[in-house]
Amino acid sequence: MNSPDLIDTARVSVEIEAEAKKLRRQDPEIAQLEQEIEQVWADIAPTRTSTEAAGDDRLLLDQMSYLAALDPHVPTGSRRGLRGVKWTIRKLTYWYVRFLTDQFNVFAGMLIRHLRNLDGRLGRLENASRHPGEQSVPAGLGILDDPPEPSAAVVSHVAGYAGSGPCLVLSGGEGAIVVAIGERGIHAHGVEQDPDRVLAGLHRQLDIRTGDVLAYLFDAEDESFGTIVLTGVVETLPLTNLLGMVDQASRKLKKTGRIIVAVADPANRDRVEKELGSGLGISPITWRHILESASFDARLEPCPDSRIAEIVVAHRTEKSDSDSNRGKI
Amino acid sequence: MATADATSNHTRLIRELLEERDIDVRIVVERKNRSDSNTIPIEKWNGEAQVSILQHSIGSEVAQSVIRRNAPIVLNYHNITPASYFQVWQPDLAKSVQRGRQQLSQLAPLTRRGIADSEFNAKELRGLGIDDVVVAPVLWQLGSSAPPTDRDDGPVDENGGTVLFVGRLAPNKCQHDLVAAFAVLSRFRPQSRLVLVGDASPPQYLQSLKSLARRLEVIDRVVFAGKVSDKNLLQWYQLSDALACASEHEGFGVPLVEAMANGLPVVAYDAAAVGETLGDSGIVLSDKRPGTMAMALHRVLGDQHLRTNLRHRGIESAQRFDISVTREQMWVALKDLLEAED
Repeated sequence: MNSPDLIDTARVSVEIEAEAKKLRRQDPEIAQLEQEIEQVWADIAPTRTSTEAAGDDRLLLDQMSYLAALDPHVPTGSRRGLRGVKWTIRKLTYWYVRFLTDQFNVFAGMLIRHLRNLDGRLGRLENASRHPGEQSVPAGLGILDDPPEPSAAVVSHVAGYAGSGPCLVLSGGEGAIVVAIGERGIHAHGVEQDPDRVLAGLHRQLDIRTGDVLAYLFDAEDESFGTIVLTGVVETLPLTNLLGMVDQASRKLKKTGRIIVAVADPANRDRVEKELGSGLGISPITWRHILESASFDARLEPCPDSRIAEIVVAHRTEKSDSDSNRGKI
Repeated sequence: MATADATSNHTRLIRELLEERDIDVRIVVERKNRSDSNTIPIEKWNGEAQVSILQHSIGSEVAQSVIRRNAPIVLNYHNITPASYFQVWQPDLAKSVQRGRQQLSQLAPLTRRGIADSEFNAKELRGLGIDDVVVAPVLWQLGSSAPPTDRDDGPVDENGGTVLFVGRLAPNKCQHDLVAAFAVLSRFRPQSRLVLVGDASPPQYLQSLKSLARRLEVIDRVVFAGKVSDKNLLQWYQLSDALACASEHEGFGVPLVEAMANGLPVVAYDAAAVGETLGDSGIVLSDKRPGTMAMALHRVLGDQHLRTNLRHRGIESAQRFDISVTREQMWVALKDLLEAED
């Protein structure tokens, strides 16, 4: 191995730091972005992650509760000859201050109790309205093994039904469907949450993105896809998630777009899978029904595969263009 | 004794090293693992040993038992993450590491010899009053997971690039700073990708990282690969274009060396033993603000001459930590003590 001319890495590091400094001066957006990022992390992370700040991990309200309590037992000092007078004044002052502090402490205690109550309510509200990707894993998810990669027959049939682009494949697996659709000249990308499958896809230099399929769909722009393929992990999602998925997919689809569903029928699962996966996944015929309810013109197409015997292909109908049925299901 | 854990692998390799020299070795553990049958749980250890080598990186019952026995030991120190990093995330873990630090000061008077992974760790031992300290890096099979490097040395797509970090998702490793840097890098390279390999400890940190990536609108370009097999780890090293490290506390930094061995240019924040492990084979920064880290990564991904340079240097530098070298260093560190006992 011939070594190239040696570069002084220490000098490069200094250059980079100087460049970054210059960039902050020249492009205030970068400096602003850094501040925003810092603020975002401060909002997300528990307080005091840094070495200096850590040490006292009491909650804010606990600290407030501690600080809000006034103590009337303050030493006043004394001087010879005046002790009696001072003692009287001090006693009177003490009783008066004690009266005031008691009033204040009662008020502060009440305020903190209400704040705690509000904090609890806000927490519950946040949990209820959290982004899909931040919510806990839907009940049942993970009990069933992830479905295997689609067979060549499924891949070729799904690609054959793909309409216009861009195409989104949920979940993208190792990218076989993305490749097949790409070969038809349609720009496609997949989303996959299994890192091993993402790794396999990236090895083939495919556009396989990472993350939760529902969250990804939720975050996508409206009317941005010509085709959405629902397959893979979709087989193992609970019905409520699937209904949400159809609702989101119909929003993200262009007016002339289509949805293709390639899933195995849960009725064909073996006994163990049936018992474990009760309530997870629905059959192609139910998919068709749901898509029709969402104003799609859906049909079942046969597929010569041992797992996936039918593929659901759903087009927008004119009725759905009016958006009147969005969010109906 | 865990799998895919640097200290556990190091311990197994020390056993191999000593057994090859006909030395009878017993590994005493806090909890017996099914996958490693050749160990003794601490409650069954009667304290008999001519030389006891304590692997110390966290508070443990094994260390406590050694302190109670008050017998001389060889302290193999891998450093202990300061508790402050975990206090708000995982108080239990904070207590464990705090206990580890307390035990460290109690172990110091019992220590015949300190063996430190790095000069950084060695300084800490000397600071505790241990005079006889030898630096011998962590033993791990660099060669077992890394076949001859044949990575593509071609240019990286000007809009893309895959940036990797390997290590537990933990507050001291500061993956949040990497996500932040990546959000800035995405401005220069919209098709780039960040891959974080490693188990989450604590789990809430992973959730916060995901929230951060989502809020910074880079979630679909950040791969949380989790704990991976050796085979997949190697694939991630081969697939990536640079390794970034923003960690604030590394007693040694095994992934830095693995990256170098795999010809991956490294951009790292200069903290703890990071600079020492990398030497002049990587870009070591004194500032890890998102803009600076992003600029460094952008430069490393885009400057072919620099990439090639770092690649060659990294491969060469990683040889310092090849198992054949480090085994010898470890043997030298232990030899006289073991022979004296014979």
